[in-house]
Amino acid sequence: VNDLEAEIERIYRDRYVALCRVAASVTGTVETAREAVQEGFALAFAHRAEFRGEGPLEGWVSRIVLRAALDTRRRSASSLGVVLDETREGTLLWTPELPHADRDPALAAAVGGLPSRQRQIVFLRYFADLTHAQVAEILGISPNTVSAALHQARTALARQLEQEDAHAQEVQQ
Amino acid sequence: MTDGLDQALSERFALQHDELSMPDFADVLRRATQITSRTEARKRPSTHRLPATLGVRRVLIAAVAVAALVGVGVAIATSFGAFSGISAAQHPQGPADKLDPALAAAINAENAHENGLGAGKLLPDSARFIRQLAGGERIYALSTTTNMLCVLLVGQPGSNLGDATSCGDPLSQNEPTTITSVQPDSATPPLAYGIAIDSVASVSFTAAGQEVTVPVKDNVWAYQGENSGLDALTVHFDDGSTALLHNGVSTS
Repeated sequence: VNDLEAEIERIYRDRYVALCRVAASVTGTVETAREAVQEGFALAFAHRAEFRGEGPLEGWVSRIVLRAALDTRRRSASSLGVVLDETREGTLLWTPELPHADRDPALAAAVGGLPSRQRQIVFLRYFADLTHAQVAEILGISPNTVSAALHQARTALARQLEQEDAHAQEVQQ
Repeated sequence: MTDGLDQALSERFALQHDELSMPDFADVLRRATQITSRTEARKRPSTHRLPATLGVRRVLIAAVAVAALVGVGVAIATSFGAFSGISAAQHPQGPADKLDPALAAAINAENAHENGLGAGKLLPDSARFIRQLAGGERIYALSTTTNMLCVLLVGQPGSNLGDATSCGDPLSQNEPTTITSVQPDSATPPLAYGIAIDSVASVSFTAAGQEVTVPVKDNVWAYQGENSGLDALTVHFDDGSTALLHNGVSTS
């Protein structure tokens, strides 16, 4: 148990920024994202005894944080209190959005056109700066699946961004 | 192409970043202590009727848009918004609807810790008993102070299923059923259940590789067994039409 406590604290320090970004892509604001991350880590810490070791602890904690962010956005937290959802299925509910779409409307449009799973992977890789292995841990899929989906997503983004950027230049001129 | 594109994407996504300072981990520990305290508070009355929901392995919640109020009676007007389209819940509260006092007290205690996530406070007095499942579990519909629909499952006394609550917006034609799955431990098959609007005759989904169709009775459907295909659920309406729900939301 003490090892788990120390590990969760380590994950908090190592992953805080990345998970705040993930949460912000769910909740839309840094403030609500920070709150969701704190609640998610608190849930994980309080229920650490339920971690069964069926995968890396980082993935388990990250999914709980992601679910906490989804609950914040969906206003669907159990009023009876804690509902712990660390499952891979929980990640399916996540459709990330750029927190500041106005800063890059072309990117927002391009990302918005991606299929849900590709969009998740793109956000985890580029917005949260996570490695393929870390993305795989969170989503509960294989690193190979991440690589394949990322390849498809990059191709689609490149094509879309090229069009969007060209359109933006035309408008400017 | 890939390296350059990688770099370009990283730079564009970096423009979305905000300054982030990390709160001390002590804040996490303080919150965790509160969660543990609340959990313990819920466990205490469990010897009566309220086993804990910890151990719930999977909860998918179908949330929905508010539908128009119809046939509102004065005595239960506040509940009809949340219970719109659910005839089995649209009746004045009677003895069968009353929650066990220990459960109601636990709900009220939890309301004091309402975490600001927007579901509002659960209203024990709004409870309407809808159906008892084959395993003895009782399904109630409740509303909240923000007029959300909550589905409360109360397990048999002494069972390890416990109680579980999931909340979302009231049901509508576009999102005609709630979807919840609970599994108290790995030795017990998951129980999937939902409250559906009146026009839903049955739901179907893939379970253990097989298509299963579950009839709706008194606005409730329930299925015990492997349910990994629950996130793609087909709703069958009385008029023969169907709607495919992905994660609770209609795709049609």
